[in-house]
Amino acid sequence: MSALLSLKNVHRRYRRGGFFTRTEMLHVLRGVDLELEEGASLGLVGRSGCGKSTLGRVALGLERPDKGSVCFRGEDIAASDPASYAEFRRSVQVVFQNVQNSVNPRMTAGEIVAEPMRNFFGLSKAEAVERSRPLLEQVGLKASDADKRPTQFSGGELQRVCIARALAPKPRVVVFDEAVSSLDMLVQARVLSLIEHIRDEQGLAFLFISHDLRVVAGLCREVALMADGVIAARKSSVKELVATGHPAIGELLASLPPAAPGR
Amino acid sequence: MSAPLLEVRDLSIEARNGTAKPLVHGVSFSVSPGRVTCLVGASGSGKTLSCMAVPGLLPQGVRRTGGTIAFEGRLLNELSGEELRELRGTRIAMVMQNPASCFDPVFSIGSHFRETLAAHGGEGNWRVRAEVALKEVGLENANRICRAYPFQLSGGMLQRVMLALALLNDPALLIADEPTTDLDTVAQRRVLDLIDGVRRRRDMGVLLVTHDFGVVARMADDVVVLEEGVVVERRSAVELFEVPEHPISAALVGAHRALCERLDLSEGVGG
Amino acid sequence: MMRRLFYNKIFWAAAILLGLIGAGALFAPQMGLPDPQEVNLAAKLLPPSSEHLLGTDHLGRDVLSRLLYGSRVSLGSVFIILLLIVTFSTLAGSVAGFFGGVIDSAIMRTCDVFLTFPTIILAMFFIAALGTGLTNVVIAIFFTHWAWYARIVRGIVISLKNREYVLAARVAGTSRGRIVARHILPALAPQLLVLSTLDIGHMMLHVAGLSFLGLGVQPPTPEWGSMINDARQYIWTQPQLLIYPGLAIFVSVMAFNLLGDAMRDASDFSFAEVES
Repeated sequence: MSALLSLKNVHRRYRRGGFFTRTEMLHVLRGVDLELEEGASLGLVGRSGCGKSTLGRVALGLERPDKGSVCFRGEDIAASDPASYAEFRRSVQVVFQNVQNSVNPRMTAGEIVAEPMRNFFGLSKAEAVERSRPLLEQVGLKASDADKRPTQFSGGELQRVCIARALAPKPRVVVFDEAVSSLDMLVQARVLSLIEHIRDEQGLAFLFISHDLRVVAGLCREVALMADGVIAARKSSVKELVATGHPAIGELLASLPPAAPGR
Repeated sequence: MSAPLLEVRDLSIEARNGTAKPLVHGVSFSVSPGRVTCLVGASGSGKTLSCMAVPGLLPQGVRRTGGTIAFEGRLLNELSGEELRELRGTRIAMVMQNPASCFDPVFSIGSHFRETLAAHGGEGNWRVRAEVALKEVGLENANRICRAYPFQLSGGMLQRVMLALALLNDPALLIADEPTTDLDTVAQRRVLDLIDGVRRRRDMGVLLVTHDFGVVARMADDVVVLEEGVVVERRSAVELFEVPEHPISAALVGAHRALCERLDLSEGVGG
Repeated sequence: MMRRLFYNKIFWAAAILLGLIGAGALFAPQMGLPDPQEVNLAAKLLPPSSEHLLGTDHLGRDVLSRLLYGSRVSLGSVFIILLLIVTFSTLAGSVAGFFGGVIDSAIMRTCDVFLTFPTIILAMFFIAALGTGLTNVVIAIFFTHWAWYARIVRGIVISLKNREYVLAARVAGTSRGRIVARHILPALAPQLLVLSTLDIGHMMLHVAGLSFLGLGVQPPTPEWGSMINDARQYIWTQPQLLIYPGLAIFVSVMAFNLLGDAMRDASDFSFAEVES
């Protein structure tokens, strides 16, 4: 059986510079191969600017690779028929880092979570908003929070709304793009345990993108290291990744702050 | 221990048109030369407001309603806007969370150096001074960086350039508001190491605002824990991590410990 | 934004003033004023009286009545111009910003071409080709101003389309049309409202200016610019004939500018971000 989601030799370049300035090409992804099986939980670590967020966007179908392909259940999403593309669209969901920008400030939490259900399940707005209530409860909010607007939530609560939105269309994969990096420590710990809970409960596949080894370590059964636009190594734990001696993982490890002041 | 460089007493801050409870109430802290004081707390605890009140940069809509801010024997809360501005570029330097928004995108990094120097003294030998300052923050290729525009540099690089700009006039106090929150751990470590190095070399006082106890553990001498606008605990960093007294501090230290323990490399990997 | 506006005195002063001017324009026919076009040479250049509150002009027409009826033309044409511009530019700018690539380049280069035409010259061209009249003034101002709005809309759309919530809507399976309608236009609308309010005064000056030059509204239809033109020869003997329409233009342009300024100050977005 083919993998749930697979990237094959994916390249992505960006052009920088304008009409009057010298343009330069940024070769962000340089031949990425990555497979995600059903129920996998893969952490993707690397420095900022190494291309891991671009990889996430390509895997989500938000950006097209310049070369290579993204396949869902073995079928290239660029060449798939509308029905299987819709199935891919429903099955691969996302939670972003920038919590405040991730929700339309003019919509209520219920409407935000309802949006994918209206699109994928053909529900009316009222039906979808009703169905959003148990989803909000599932991520640790109250059913009545569906009527609140984004400004009435804290950052951590808002990230829970985003998680509920990602879970709403019953996906098979959720991409977490630095999803806890901008949260306060206490909130981060709570959101992480929510994500762990969802992983155990629903058997979803995860792609968890982060620069923080500590976050990924407790959460993922596999860890891939991204450096210079390619997957440099993929191991079943951070410890094994460290053992590969790749300079990028050494750098990430050495950069972690101490557990307590050491003076 | 020497006399404090900065001494904030009973600081209170309120919203201008709000009759609700004060945003910051009776907050006191101090920074000594060559030492780092961390203001920590969750978002909304008033740590950033408390820190911005020091150089007189409270955002519109809030004002200081009480307390004194003494810096090098002067009461900052009694100075005029002009005097504060003069102080901000010279004796007090600042580094903010989002470096990209602190640079003007249409001017090159070099122009920023020239502007900063022109505003406080002379721009005569700005190239040399920029090169020295950039070298101090570990950026060797000063010429190329001066020619670059802000968007051409990464967040970590920009933050180091901002630090270089901040240090140009040899400040006695560095105020850093979440300086590494938007950076990855590698860039964070580099920026923190730089701040620490400068602090040691120049005996500079540092007021550091952060929510990250990793940053506290790495940097702080003294810690002030804020919660909902009041100080709940104030002690040395070593003591705070050993026996946090207030439940809030205990929870924050605990969360940090738990995060560190997720990564268990105890066996198999040396070093 | 609404809350901050509520406490803004300048906003309320400008709004009330404009409300009065608007009411005057709207209800002019119901106020029992003399016919603004009725010529009565026996009653020319009369001083203010109970019959003619602001006196009469050189053809014996009631000045107050002409001012109020004139405001219908001045304000009405400006609103039609803005409606045209906002509709068309929102469409063009959103398409350019949202789709990008070749479509974007094509629309933006077209904008560049239109931005090179000076309003007055283009108006003169239209009038030479199609004859004088208010319609041609409207067309000329529309042609010379839509591109400016389209560029701003495009800038806003580009900044919005890479917002995480728009990306999330794409992941949530929302179609492009719905994304524009549900996520982009609602964010665009308040910004456009502020921009166009700030611009109303500018457009009024164009309409009045072209009419003053005799290119716009034709006599005997009352219009502020053409009233000033009519009164030119009496500038030394009957200056009030110039002052009244001049004051009307001045006050309403100022009120619109103050209203726009207050709205801009109250809104929490910066135009510097999107104008490049």
